[in-house]
Amino acid sequence: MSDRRHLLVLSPILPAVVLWLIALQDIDPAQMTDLGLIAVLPATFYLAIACVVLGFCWSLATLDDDTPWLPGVYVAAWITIVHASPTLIYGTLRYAWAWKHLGIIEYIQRTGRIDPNIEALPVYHSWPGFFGAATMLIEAAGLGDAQTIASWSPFFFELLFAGAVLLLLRTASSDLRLIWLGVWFFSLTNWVGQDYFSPQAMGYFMFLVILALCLWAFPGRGTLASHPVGDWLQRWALWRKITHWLDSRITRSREAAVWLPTLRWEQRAGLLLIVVLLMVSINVSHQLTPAILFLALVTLVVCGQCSALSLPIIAGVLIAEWLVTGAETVATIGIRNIISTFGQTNDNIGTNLIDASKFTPGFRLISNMARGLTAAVGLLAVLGWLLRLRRGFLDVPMTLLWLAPVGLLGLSSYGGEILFRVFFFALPFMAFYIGALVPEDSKGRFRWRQWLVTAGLSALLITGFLYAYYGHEDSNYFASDEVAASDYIDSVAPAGTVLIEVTPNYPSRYRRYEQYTYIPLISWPRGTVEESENSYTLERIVEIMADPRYPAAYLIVSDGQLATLSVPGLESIVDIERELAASDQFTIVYESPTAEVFTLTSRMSGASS
Amino acid sequence: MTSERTAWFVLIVATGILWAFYGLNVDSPLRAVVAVAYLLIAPGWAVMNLLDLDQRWVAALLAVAASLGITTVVATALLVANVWTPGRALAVVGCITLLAAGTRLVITSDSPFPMTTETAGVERHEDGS
Repeated sequence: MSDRRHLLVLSPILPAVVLWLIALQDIDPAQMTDLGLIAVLPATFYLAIACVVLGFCWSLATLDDDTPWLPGVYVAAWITIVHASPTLIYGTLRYAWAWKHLGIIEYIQRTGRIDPNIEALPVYHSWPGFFGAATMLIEAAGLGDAQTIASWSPFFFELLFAGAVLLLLRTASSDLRLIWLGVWFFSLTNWVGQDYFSPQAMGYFMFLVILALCLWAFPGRGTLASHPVGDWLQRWALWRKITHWLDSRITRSREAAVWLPTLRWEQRAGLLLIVVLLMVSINVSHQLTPAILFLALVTLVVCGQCSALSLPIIAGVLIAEWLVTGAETVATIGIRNIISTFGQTNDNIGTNLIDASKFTPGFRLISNMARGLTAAVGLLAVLGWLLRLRRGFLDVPMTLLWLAPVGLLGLSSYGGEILFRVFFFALPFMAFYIGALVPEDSKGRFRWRQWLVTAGLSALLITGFLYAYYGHEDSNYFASDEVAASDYIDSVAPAGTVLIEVTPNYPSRYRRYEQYTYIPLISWPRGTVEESENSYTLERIVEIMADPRYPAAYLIVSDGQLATLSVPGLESIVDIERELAASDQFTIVYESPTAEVFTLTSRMSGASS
Repeated sequence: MTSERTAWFVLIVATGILWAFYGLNVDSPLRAVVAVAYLLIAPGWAVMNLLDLDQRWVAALLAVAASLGITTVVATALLVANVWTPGRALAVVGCITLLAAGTRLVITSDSPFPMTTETAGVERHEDGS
């Protein structure tokens, strides 16, 4: 393709960027409702996305061996528009957990160590890898704290995810169009939000790279007939027929995917060491990812799809080693929890699905859109898998890796997140099969039918994605004076202070976090007053704040905290703000449009006397 | 200058700049750019150079992954051993980078392994063409 043609295919980028920049000027995060960012996105934002979708389709239509990277420009454009926007609009770090992760880095910066026996957030001290690496980065960069780097994490990690998925899917097919469609649909449907500044984001990237390396550098040659179980089953005539039918598709799929390089032994050895290095990094950084990786590797090796037979053993040894050394304190509790919930698949799933009927209409819509998107992705992937089988391809590694994370459902509820994590880990493989839904042309062309299906699927999935990913931004956004309120507390509160908060959903625990006692009136996530262990009556609050064991006591109420209260009737908790302001037992010590900090009047007079 | 020598030179200079910025506590946006770029690319690039992969974009992706891996493992080791300081961590990562780059230089100048072996990948389309 000529350079002029490249420029032409890339031309939709220009209006997309211009429209996006115009849209950014028109977005006021303070006007968000319970529909999150969806409520404030202008038409120009959607037009920018439309340009990117059309550009992506065009790049597929003109794809050739000289310009295999062209669709990647549009994948990057999509990631930029969707994941850089909140960073550019908000001006503050989004998502309360990201703030809490800053607190671990600040702890390491301040003390130069980790403390696995610490009372507050001990899990992070037992899996400190990510935080150690981030601390090194912050110190080397001379940034003081991690806010700037953390703000750009979703954008950065999504780019890395896309790169790793590209390598992973490249091992499944040599059809560049199918691969790019897989990467595209992965980026369009990755709504779970595990791309923020967190150990799981880094762990996920490494997980994808490890699997890609396994299939790229150490591919297996297993077929059903060559497998011991398949061989045993061959004694039945029906199974022989089925085996023959499936094996012909497995072989065809494998032959079609021959992009794999011829590597020298020392290159393989080196890549194996890289895999082990990444495994170690995951093991010391996150508790769940190594378990899913182990499941995936066992599945690949047992089914003859990976020739590096030692990898599951190494993965298992590394997990066990870290659980009995670095993470011993927390692992004991975690393993007890796993044993108690083992096999309770229905319960584990049930804890993920809140009863949305209790919430406001906006919240209900967002929840239903997220569930709808998840179901649609699963359904479309099944259809794509069947279509690909009909075309004569059975991609065994992709199928196995899609199914492997499902095994986690029986293991633990993982704090009510396991269903979303299973979706997250299965997503690259589901996206590959959604890509397979785009019809093939006998001459390899990308004509109006292909355009129509690609654009239609993209529009459908983008609609679901924007609701699912942006829908909760009202509780993920924190105004700068909300951050200032937390900064104020940090500047006046001595070690040992008790800090009462309506919910923990605000910038907190990011400085000297272990020195304070935090008491949320309502626990996460999106809990209800009835589920809370703490009573929020004024009398009880006064009792806690007057406790002489605490050298100081503050109560903070902020918009971010209140944004999580989407249960009708719970608005009454907002009354607490009025009750506090009206009561002469409390004095406002910090006030801004989005946050108020109270202390006991008696404590103030005590200080002055 | 061969590409190995160029890489060696670039990595020495980059490591030197990183250490100088940190040691002198330079307050500049350039320091942040250099530090982020270095820690996300340099250690992994030096290691991936040893493997001499033909597929450059794969090597680039693996370089970022390996850089994150090396940084994570070094930081964790120092924290668990209770000997963490940022300066020490940067020194170890810098040494690993220079060691890997130096090893590559030694291998190519007196190589027991041929570095120009045919390793081209086989490209085939699904229709078998």
